[in-house]
Amino acid sequence: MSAAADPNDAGAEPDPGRAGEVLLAVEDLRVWFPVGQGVLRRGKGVVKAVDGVSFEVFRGETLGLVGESGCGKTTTAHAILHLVKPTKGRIVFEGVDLSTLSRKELQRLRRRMQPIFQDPFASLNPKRTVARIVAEPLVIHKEGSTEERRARVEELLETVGLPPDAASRLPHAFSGGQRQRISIARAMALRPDLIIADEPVSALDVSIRAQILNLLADLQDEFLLTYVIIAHDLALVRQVTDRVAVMYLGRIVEMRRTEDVYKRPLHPYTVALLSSVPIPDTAAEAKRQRIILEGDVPSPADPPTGCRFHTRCWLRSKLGNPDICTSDDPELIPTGDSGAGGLVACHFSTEVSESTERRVTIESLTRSAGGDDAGRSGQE
Amino acid sequence: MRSTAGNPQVAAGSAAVAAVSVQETEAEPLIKVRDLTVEFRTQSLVRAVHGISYAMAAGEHVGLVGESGSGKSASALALVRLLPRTATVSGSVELAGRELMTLSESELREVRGGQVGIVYQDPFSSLNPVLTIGRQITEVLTRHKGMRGDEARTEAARLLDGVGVPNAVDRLADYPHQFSGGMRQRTIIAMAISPEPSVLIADEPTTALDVTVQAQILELLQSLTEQHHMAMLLITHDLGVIAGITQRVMVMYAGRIVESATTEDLFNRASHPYTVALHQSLPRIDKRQERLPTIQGHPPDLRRAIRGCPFAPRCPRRIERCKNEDPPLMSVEIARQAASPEWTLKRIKEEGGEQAPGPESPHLTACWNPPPPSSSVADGWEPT
Repeated sequence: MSAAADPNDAGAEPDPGRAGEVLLAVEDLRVWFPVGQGVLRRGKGVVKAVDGVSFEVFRGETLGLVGESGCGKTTTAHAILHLVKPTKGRIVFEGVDLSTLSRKELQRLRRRMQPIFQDPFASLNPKRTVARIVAEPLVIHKEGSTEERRARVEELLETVGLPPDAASRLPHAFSGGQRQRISIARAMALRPDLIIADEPVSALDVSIRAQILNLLADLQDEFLLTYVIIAHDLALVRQVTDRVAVMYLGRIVEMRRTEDVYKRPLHPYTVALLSSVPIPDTAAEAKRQRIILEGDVPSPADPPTGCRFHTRCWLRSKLGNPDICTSDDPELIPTGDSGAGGLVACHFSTEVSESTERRVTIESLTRSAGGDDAGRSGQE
Repeated sequence: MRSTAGNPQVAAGSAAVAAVSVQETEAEPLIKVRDLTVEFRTQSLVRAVHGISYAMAAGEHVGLVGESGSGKSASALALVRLLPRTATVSGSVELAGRELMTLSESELREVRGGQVGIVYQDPFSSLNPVLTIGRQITEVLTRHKGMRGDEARTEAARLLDGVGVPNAVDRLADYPHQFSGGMRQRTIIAMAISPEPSVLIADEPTTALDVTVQAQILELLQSLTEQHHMAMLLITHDLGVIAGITQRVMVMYAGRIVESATTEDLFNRASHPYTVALHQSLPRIDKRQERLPTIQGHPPDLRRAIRGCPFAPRCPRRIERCKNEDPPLMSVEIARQAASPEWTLKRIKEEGGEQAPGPESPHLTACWNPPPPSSSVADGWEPT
C-alpha cells in the first residue's frame, strides 16, 4: 500500500517511538441509565450499564472488550466516544480529561478517535455516494479544499482495497464486506490515533470476516493505530488483540494479555466463556467438557450482592458456597503475570487455577498449538 | 410438481388437529428430497436453491452449512413451503412416504408444527408479544394434540419444565418480554417438540444468543432430539456448532450442495475447495494465527446465470473444465479422476459416481479438481 500521509500534514505521520505510551485512560467509569421515570411509569431506579470500569490503552496496541449482552462493553465504547455522558469517572486521552474540554476543544480532539460500527448496512447513508460518505468527516472538520478532499478519498479507497470507481456509487451497490471497507475508509479519513470498533465483522459472512480483520491489522501496522475492539466472538478476539478485558454486568472481571487469558484464565466466568465456544474440529469437540452456566445474566438494574457473578458461578458451589462471594464485592487485584500487569476480580482465583474444570478447558484450547505465541507488533 | 409457497407467518404452532403418527421403516429414509428448486421473483428472478436432492433417516442429525445467500434456509423452509409468496418451489419432498409438494395449504399446516417442528433463529420475534407464554403453548397442544383446559395447562407446564425453564407453573402467566433470550428459545423449542415431530428443522437456533446460553440450548436440542428419536436438520453458518452435534453435514454454496460427508470426514478430509477455505478462514479459539487465510472475492450473483462451477472465480484449484461445466455432486473417488474430459456426465452417472447425500452415501463433492485428502493445512491458498 502507498503511504497515505499527506506531506502537508506531517503531524499525522506515525512515530514508532511513541508506541507503548498510554494513549487513553478510562478511570472509574460509570454510566447509569435512569429507568421507569416519566408520567405513568413507576420509579424503578437505575440500570448500571457500566459500573466502575478502569483501564488504560497503550499506543499501538489492540485491546479487546469481551462479554455477553448487557455486560456494558458497548456502553463503555460509547462513553469513550462521548456518545453517552459518563455518570461518573473520567476519560483521559493523551493526558487530557475530556470532561474539562469545551465543546470546540472536544470536537478537535474527537477527530483523533473514530468509530467503526457493527452493521455496515445501517451505518452508511444509502442516499449518499461513497465519495461523500468517506469525505464527510473531512467536511465536518473543515479539512482541505474540495480538490484535496477528492484526492484524499481516492487515496483512502485504495488503502482499504476498493476500486477507484467505487467513489461515485451508492452503498447498495456493495456487499457487506465492501461496505465495511467504506466504513473503515471513513474512519481513517481524519488520520485518527484511536479506532473504537464495535463488533466490526459480526454482521459479515464468515468468508469475508478474515479479509476485514487482515485489513485492520495492515492499517494498524502502517499507521500505528490503536484499537479498542468490542466483540463477543472469543475466537476472533484471540486472533486480533494484544490484551483482553472480560466484562460481566458492568464490570471488568479479568484483564490480561490475550494469551494469558486463553492459556491461564483466572476468573470462573472467563473459564466458562472459553469452554462454551464451539470449536470447528470434531476431535476437539468430542473431548470437550462444557461448563454449562445456570440461567441467564442477571439484570443490571438489580445486580447481585457481593460478587456479581456468584449467582451463576460454577466454582462457588464446589467450594461449599462461601459467604464472602455474596457479601464482598471482589476488587481487581494483580495476577502476578510476569511483567504484564494482569488483573482479576475473584476471591478464589487460586482455586480457579487449580480446578479440573480449568485444566480440561485449557487442554481443549491448546490442542493445536500451531502458530501460537507469535506476539504482535506494537506491544509493550 | 409446482406450487407457490405458503404463508410465511405460519409458525410452528398453528396447524390443525393431531399429527399423523409416522411409520418408521428401517429401509426407507424419513425424508427424501428430489430436485428441490426455489426461485424468488423480485425485480429479477433469483434462483436461491438449484435443484438439490438428499435423504435423511429417522433420528439422524444433519447439518446444513453455508453463508448468507447460499440457500440453506430457503431449502430447509421449502420442505414445508414456509416461504414468502414471491417464492416458487418445485421438485419433490417425501416425508415418511408422503409427498408434501402436492398437499393443500390446510394439509400442510397440519404437517408444520406436527410432523415437522421448526425452531427459528430469532427468539425475539417468533413469539407473539401480546399473548402469555402459557397461552401460546396450550394453543399448540390444542391444535396438535386436542388438549384443552387444565390438561393443556398441566402439559404446558411439564413441557416448559422439561426444557429447563425454572418455576414453569408460575411462568405460564408471563409474557414473552418477561423472558430472556435463552428462555424464549427454550419456550420455542418446547412448542416445537410438543406434538412429537419426527423431524426438527432448527434454523440458526443459537445465532441470536450469547455464547454461554448457546451452550445451554445446543445441549438441550441434543438431549431432546435423542430422547425422542427425532431427526434434526440443523442450519447454521457456524462450523463449530456443526462439529459438536451432527453426524452428517451438507455444505451449500450458490444454491447447490457442494459437499456432503460425515461430520468427521468433513472436518478431517474436506474435499471441496470451498469447504477447505471456509474452514481455514475461521478464527479458531484454540490457536492464534498471525494472519487468517482469506477467500478472495464474493459469492456469485444468483440473479445471473452461472456458467461452470459457481465457486470457480474464487477457487485456487480451478482448472479448464471448471469454467465451462458445473460439476455434479459425485463420489470423491470418482471426482479425483473426473478432471479429464473422458469422464463425461453420462459416464460419471453410469459408474455410480453421481449421487444424492443420504445416510448411506459416501463422501460426495461437486468439484472437478478436489483438494488432496489431507488438505487440512493451507494448500495453495495465498494468504491474501
